[in-house]
Amino acid sequence: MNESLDPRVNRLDDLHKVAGEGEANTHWATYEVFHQDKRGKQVVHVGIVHAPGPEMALVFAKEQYARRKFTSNLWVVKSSEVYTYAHEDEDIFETVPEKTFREPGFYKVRDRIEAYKNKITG
Amino acid sequence: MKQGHDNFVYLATGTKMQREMLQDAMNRWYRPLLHFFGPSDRESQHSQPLMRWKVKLASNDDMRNQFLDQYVPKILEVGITLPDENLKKNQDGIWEFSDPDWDEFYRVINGDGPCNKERLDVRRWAELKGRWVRQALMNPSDKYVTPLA
Amino acid sequence: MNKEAIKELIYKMADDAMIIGHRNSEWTGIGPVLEEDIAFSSMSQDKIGHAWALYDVLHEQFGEKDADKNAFSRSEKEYKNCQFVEMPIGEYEFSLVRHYLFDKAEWLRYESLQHSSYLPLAQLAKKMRGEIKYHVMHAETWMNQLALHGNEESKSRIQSALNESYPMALAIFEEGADESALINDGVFIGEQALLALWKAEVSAFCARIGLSLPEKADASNYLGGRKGYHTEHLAPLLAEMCEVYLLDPSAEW
Repeated sequence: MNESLDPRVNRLDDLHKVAGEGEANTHWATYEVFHQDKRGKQVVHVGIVHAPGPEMALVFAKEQYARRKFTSNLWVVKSSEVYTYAHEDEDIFETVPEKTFREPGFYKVRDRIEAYKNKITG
Repeated sequence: MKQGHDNFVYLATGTKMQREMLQDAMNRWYRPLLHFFGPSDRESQHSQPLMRWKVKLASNDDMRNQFLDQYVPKILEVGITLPDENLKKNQDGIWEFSDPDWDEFYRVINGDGPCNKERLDVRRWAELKGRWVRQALMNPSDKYVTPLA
Repeated sequence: MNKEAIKELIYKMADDAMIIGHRNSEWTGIGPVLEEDIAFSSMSQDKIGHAWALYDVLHEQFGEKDADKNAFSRSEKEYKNCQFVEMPIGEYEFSLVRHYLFDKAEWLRYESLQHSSYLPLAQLAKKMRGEIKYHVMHAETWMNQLALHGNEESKSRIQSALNESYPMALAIFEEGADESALINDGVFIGEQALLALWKAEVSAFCARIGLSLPEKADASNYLGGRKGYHTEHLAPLLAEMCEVYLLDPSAEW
């Protein structure tokens, strides 16, 4: 008889005889999970689940990502099916911030208008 | 958190038995609550790098102080007492309290607390009992791939 | 309408849900895989929620005690759950197979009750559909995975669990005192009809996943739950489940 405050623990047979190491981690494949909170809205990436197959991935995803918020549906995609740029190539995205002529904030015509108005009324 | 507070209030404002249960629990948990925020900043071993990397956002002392600031009034408001006659807020707004026995803290986090053995036994038991399920679900053709994001 | 018969029907449905909800919550913390821990815990919450809704109907439409008092203050003989749901959780394969067999029966029961002439039940059945549908989906996915796609050990464990639990499951359909009233009034299709639907689906599913049903299964060792006769397992369950409430039935928690 175990002597825990928790009666469920007291029902676990052979609790204190369990010795030895746990098994080395057996890894399942991962699935990327996407969540949609309302029909028609965007489906947003929220994380991953480890699962032995797509049906199990859907079940696990519901448990992990759809318990506490409004959900209209979930997508799961096996991570190995996702196409993406290699991490080393992420520098190809780096030039964008310097192309300031693509940003609306770059155009400061308000100063020119004021200067011009001052000129013609001056 | 609201749910916890609700439970607390129902017990504190309920029957005599409920108030006594709650007060008893409060007496038992007071010291572990202070321990929960970790040792004082002067002694904390891991705070510096954790804060530099923004894993930890405020110091132990700050968090503990914030906690006391928020919760002590709520506790006292319903007539529950705290087992520490030195617990009070000083004029700088900092809560002072009796030394909560940091030796006990170090013993517990190093594996010698009242529940450590049971918790580990239960984990091992669950792992062993569940092993056949995980093994049955192993799919040798599926390879582990590092997550993408 | 025969109100006694309807009351009896609702009591057994509520007690089944309450007891299996409590039993499955015992997996919290010790499930074989983290997600199963979460799944069983959250399905238990659903089941207890269903019980609550049914106890509410009993309170409002039949003048029975309010839901909390009703759930926690009856004696063993007053509970009308089937014996199957009070069995201990056992090994995971037993709980999984019970989850499949029982929830499948629930699903078919609620599906048929959507057309009940007794409106409170019809309305509840429509509301609870989604949750019960998921419970069945969850059970079938796991059964499929372990029995069809698993290894020798998982297949043999699931088959043994099925052999053991199928006769117990048959006792879910133990008839009430006045089935014909329920059928004639259009309240419910009756346990016999439900049993036939259930047998058809269960045997088709088991065949698909490579399991066989035990041949001469009969429920006789497990009957009596609907009349308040229970195994030695119910009393300790009730003692634990009702422990806090019974400290002081007048207290609010």
